Amino acid sequence: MPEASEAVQVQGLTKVYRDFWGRDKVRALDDLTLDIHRGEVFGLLGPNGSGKSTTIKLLLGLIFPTAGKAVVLGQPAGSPAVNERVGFLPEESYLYRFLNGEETLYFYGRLFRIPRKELRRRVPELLDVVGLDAKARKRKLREYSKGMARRIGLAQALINNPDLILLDEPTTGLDPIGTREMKDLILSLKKQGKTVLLCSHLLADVQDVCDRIVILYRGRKQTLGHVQDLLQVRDVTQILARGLSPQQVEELREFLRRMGVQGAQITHPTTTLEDLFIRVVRENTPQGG
Amino acid sequence: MAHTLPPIALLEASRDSLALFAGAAVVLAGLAVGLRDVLRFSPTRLWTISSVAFRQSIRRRVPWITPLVMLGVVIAAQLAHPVDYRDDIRQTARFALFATGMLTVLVGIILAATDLPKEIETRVIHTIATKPVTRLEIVAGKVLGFARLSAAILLIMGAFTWTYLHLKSARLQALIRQRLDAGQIDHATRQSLEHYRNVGLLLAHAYAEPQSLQIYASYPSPGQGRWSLPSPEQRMLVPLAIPSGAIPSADPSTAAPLFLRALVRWRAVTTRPTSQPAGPAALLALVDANENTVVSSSELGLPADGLPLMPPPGESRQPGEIVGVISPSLRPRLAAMAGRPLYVLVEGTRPGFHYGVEASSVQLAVPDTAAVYGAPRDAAALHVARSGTHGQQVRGDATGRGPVAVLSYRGPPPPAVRGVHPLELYTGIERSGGELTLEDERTTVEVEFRDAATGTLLHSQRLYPESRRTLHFAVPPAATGTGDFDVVLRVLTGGHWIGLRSGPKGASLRLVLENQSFAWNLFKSLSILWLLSLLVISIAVFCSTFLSWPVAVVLTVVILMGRWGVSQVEDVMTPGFGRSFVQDIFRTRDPAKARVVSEGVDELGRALQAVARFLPDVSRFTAIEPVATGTAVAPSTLGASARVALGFSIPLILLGYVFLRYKEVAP
Repeated sequence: MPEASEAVQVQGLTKVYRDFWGRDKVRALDDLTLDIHRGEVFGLLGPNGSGKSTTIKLLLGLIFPTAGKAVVLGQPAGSPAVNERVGFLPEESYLYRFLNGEETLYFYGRLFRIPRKELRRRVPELLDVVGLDAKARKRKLREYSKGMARRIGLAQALINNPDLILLDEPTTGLDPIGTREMKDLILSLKKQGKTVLLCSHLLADVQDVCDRIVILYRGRKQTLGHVQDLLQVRDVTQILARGLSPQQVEELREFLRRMGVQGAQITHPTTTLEDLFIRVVRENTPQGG
Repeated sequence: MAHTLPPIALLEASRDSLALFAGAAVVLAGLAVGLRDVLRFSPTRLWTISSVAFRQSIRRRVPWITPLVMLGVVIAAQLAHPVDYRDDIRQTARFALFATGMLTVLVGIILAATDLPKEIETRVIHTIATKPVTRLEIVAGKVLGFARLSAAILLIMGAFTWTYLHLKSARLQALIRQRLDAGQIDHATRQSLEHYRNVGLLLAHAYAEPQSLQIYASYPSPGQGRWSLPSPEQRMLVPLAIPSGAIPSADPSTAAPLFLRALVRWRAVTTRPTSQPAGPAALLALVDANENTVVSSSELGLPADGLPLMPPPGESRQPGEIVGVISPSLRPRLAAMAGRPLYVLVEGTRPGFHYGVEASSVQLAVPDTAAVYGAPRDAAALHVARSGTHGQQVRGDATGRGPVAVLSYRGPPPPAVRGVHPLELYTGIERSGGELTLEDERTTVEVEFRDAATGTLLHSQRLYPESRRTLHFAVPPAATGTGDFDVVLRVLTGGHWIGLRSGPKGASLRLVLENQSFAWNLFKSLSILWLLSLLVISIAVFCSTFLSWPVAVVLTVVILMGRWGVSQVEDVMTPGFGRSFVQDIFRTRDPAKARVVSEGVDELGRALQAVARFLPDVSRFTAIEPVATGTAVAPSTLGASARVALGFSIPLILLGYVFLRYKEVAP
């Protein structure tokens, strides 16, 4: 079967939740149509109850659409054959709490029929990637902190080296360093040619890593496009320069005034709080710690 | 009642076939719906899912319940009051295996019914269902996982049972040796103790059971007529085959009556009391397989003391004809019994005579269809005796001319065990006025082995059984002749009655064919319990695919016990129960209301019985009694258990898969 050009194709996808008597209760998703290209990081944005999680559940076959259809990697969404190439990190790490980290990955690996020999190589590798140390690997998941649970959740989502990765609120529960590592990992996955569908309401995270986004509200698509295009303020121009002296700044301001530019601002840009936090922590981390 | 009449095989087969067809239809439908998933089925994923279910149970410390159960068994065994050493072992084995069975069933129901709903509730299912796992693998994996847990519990409890019984047996054997060495034991007790000392207390005998038990007025030599004593001591039953729909419904006011006819033989007995001036008389009635009355003799228009069989003076008509008239108002009752086991009860009513009936002489005539129905081809009348506490009663007669019990063995010659044929006789003894006491005279029973074809006496000896204790005795190999032989039992102690049984729950007289290893027998018993737990788990997992866990637990119990429950009320819910219900409980003078209630109750009974046919028959899982009674678990018992377990588990797994496939697991 020839590979589809789109990783995900959604057409007229609608989901209506019904009550016990079959009466319409909530229209969680209404006529959603979108495509996700192969190799891009796609953001699914929206406030609580906007239909983000419903979309993800429909793409994974956990629930069934009331109308419309979804095609994932060229096959109907949710079929076991598609799931061979899909990784999923749920909103919270819904895993067996009585297993330890290693056992969890072996369990999910065996569901993909990955040979034990291969798992013996891949499991430690993945645990390193998500940053779980040797001690944490042997602890039961019920003893994990929220951040550790997110990390092991991410590791299970990557156990099959998937082509499409669906991440539902991936940075929830992570500290700023963890958040940065998660974002770096997403970018590294993109570099490997993988498609990532990121669902989040933390806009800064999405802005940092996503190529394109869709904003959902009340189950309907409000906006879809490239992040840069959508964020661009077309009637404002920004000039960035490094190493200007105060005199040069003053000359520049004078020049703009002569050009008739009203309300021009020349200031020092600020870094993000996340960058500041990471720099402080890294500077104070002992060597080898 | 103490004995069960032989079922009409065809009817039983058709009932089983219905459930079989239903199961096959479910399997085919499941395959049609999910052929792709069936083709994707992976043993690796199945084992992985089962392993996590198994490991979860282990880490929740479920097997830690077993020491508590063991403690309970030990306490129960200590508090028991066994009648003898063998009974001590019997009771202990029964406690241990019952507790083992209950433990596996309860653990199976609770874990299997709650697992899937809890995974959906905690959303763990999200990370499973989004892997390349089919819903079929999820359902089957859960069943296998909990079946593995059951196997682990059974192994632990099996090891405990084996060890505990061996320790107990060794202690009791030492006591037996002590008592035998000390002497001063009566003959019967010495006989049993010596037997236990020689063969041990942990037995696993394979037995040959008699094909039938019949009680006659005297031993019926081949080619001679078979005779019964008058009621209430003895009676005869002739099976009547009426196909379904053979009795058409008709307006009671205009329909013709039906006629029931039998020819009854009689012979005068020399000991006939001279005070009895009247000649022989007999009655007919229609009864079901449990001898519940369907049409009574008075409803047939027969006098209460029987219809005289003696011809007018000067005639010697023999046998005497009895014809009963079934009024049109009784048609619905009879029509409801068509296609089900039905018997004509024939009983002599006057003492001083023996009575007999040929099955071929019994007829039911339906004038409006001009049809006549009789006994199935080759069927013979069953001669049965009054039922007492311990089975059919055989009266003792010091003259040796009392009634006889005949236990028939047919087949190839049984193999001898160490040069003899060991036999066991287990009987309850009553005497006129109550149960036997120590002060009573000991009961003497004469046992004869006769060739079935010629009636030749092959062997004879006297036995002295004790009430409710197994008597072990042996006969020479020649006693069983060609393999087709009758064992004739006659009580020689006047005023004593022995109770005898036969049938699926074990016969009073059993021929030992071989001694098997106790451990092997215990293993077979545990295998049956495992098959039972497999059935329980399959039902529970199936229910959990579409119900919340508390409802799933309840429904599992209902499905599991439904057939047994209906069988318990089946005796009551015979055709005509609706009428009795209206008469006894729902008393009303309004005939229209009475009719509605009566028909409603009858319909409910029929609906319950119809539904029960599609439920698993848990009575097939006979795991406890064989080990307790020292009987080898027959391969056929294992086969029957496996058939029920797999016959229900496979369709239920497929049905559960179909439900789960169309279920939204992330609502």
